Amino acid sequence: MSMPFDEHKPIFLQIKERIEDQIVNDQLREQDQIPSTTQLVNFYKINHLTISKGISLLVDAGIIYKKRGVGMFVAEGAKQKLLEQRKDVFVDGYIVPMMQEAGKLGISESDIIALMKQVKGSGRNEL
Amino acid sequence: MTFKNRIAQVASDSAKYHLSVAAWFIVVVSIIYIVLGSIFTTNDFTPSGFMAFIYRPAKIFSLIYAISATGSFLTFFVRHGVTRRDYFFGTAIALVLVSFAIMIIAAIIASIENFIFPAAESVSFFGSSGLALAAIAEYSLNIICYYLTGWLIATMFYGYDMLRKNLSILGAALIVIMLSMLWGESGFEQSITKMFNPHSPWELSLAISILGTLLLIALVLWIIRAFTKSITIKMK
Amino acid sequence: MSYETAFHQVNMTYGNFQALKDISFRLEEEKIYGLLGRNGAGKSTLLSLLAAYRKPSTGTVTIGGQEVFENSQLMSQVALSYNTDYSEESDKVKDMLDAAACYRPNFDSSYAEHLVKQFKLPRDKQVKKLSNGMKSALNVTIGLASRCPVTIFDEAYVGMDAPTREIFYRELLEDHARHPRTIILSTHLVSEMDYLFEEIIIIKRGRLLMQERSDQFLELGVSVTGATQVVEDFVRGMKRLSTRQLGGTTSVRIYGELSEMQHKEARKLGLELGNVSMQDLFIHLTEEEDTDDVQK
Repeated sequence: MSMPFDEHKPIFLQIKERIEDQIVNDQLREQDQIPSTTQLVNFYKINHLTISKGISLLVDAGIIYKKRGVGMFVAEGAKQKLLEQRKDVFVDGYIVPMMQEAGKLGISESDIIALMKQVKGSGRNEL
Repeated sequence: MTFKNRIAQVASDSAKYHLSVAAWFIVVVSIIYIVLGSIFTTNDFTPSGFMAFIYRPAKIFSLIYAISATGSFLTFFVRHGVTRRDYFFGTAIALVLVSFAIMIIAAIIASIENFIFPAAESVSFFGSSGLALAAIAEYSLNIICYYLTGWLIATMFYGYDMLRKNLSILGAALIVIMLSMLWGESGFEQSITKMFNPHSPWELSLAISILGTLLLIALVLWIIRAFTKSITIKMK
Repeated sequence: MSYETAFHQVNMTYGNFQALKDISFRLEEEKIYGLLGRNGAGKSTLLSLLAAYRKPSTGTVTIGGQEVFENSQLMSQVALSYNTDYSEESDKVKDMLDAAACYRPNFDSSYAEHLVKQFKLPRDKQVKKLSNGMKSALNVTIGLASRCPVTIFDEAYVGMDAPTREIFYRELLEDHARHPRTIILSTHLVSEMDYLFEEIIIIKRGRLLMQERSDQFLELGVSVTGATQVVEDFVRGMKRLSTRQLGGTTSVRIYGELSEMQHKEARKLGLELGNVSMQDLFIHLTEEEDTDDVQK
């Protein structure tokens, strides 16, 4: 079964992110058909209004496109687009909170770099 | 699907089920008849043959069948999207068909019996075909009335209050009394008739009896329709 | 033809008891509706009116503008599945399916066979000998395979175990996607069915409490989590659904939408805002307010 959803974040955004994740991870490749709304509803046990809301964000962003009567597909260049978007939010989403947390714990910048090298060396960063 | 088809569908499904139960009834009565017939000599035992023998049990069978089947059929049909109106007309058609079918089958059995054992002393109506038809008509009409009596009781017990349940029993008694007055029967029914009208030996002509019975059937059907028109279906 | 369904000022009275009071609402075609209410709220009565099992005391129940009661055309297009008493049903499973196939114009026998396999229904077994879960599965099979433009399931899951209910919900969604139709599911098990509903209708003590799209309904509730004192100050004057406390952290679910201002303020105060489940909202909205009655 699926991972539980974070109750502090709108579900439709989390749906959108999960589909994006699958594209970034190559579980869904360009021109692949993505699961239908009904399949997603059945899988996530989330209302189809919510699922549709998440999907329409992806359609609006040009990540996926709809073929009438056939289904929805991953758009050409979707992965590239997502990677760029994610790089844009990487600083805000990860670096800033990390440095805030490090500040609370009194971890210096050089310590952070050392820790990063240590994690990389141990292989714990592998997905 | 047009609603005329619906009535035909209800009629044929009801009749099929009713006949399948009636077939068992006829088989059982036939066996009893043969057993009794072999134990007792013909002289002691029902000189008037199978048809007269099955007639009384057939009335009771129709009454009980109607009482026991009405509720579940009503629920079944409405649950499957059939209107009360279509249920009513379909059931009415089926019961007429089955009542005649029972007596026609009985007549066939009786004529086979008559063919095998041409009992000289038995008061057989097979002397004339007109008499046979009259007997089939009389018995069938009576059976229809008994079925209707059961239908009426079951309808009131299905969807109505204590007062109307009791009234339906009273109505049933009235129907039976009316029938015995119309057909001047012997035995139990006649003694009731005599209670009400001790001086009159009822000698009605067949035409009047049939006409009266048809009127009675129409009246009871009208009452049943009135009470099933908007009846609430039990969600059980 | 249109299968838009409407209740218009419907009252239903049994003797002195008023089971439904002035109910009016409309159901658009081809949507899945959740009819929510506590036991005895009037869910079954309401649904039995739609299926023409009874006539409203006053008011009208219409489909496509025509009254349903005793309308031959419409009644054949409405299917109601409920927890049926089959204790005297000597027919076999296959007989019941055949009967439904005869009377339901859109009945799909091959889909019924598919459902029989999914639910592992024994075709040759007498219905009265089935377990309660199997009886419900049979009702659901007939209800779905009938493909009626108005399909009603009144607590049709009774007796089903969790995996069977799962099959029911999945098949319902999939068949609805293939053959869109109005489906009404009445339930008080909101938590496991909430994702099925496009719109919900809540009735309470025979009255219509609300009809809302489910996503909009969910926005009626917010959970506020943070340091106890900060949370308490923030939610003062708001309608509280429930409070949970762990150490110095408190999580309060409130009823009502927050303004943009309040959202900003919550962020400034370091409060986490979250979702509230349909179940929580439902429980709150249908609580029996005995104290209110005393005051009235």
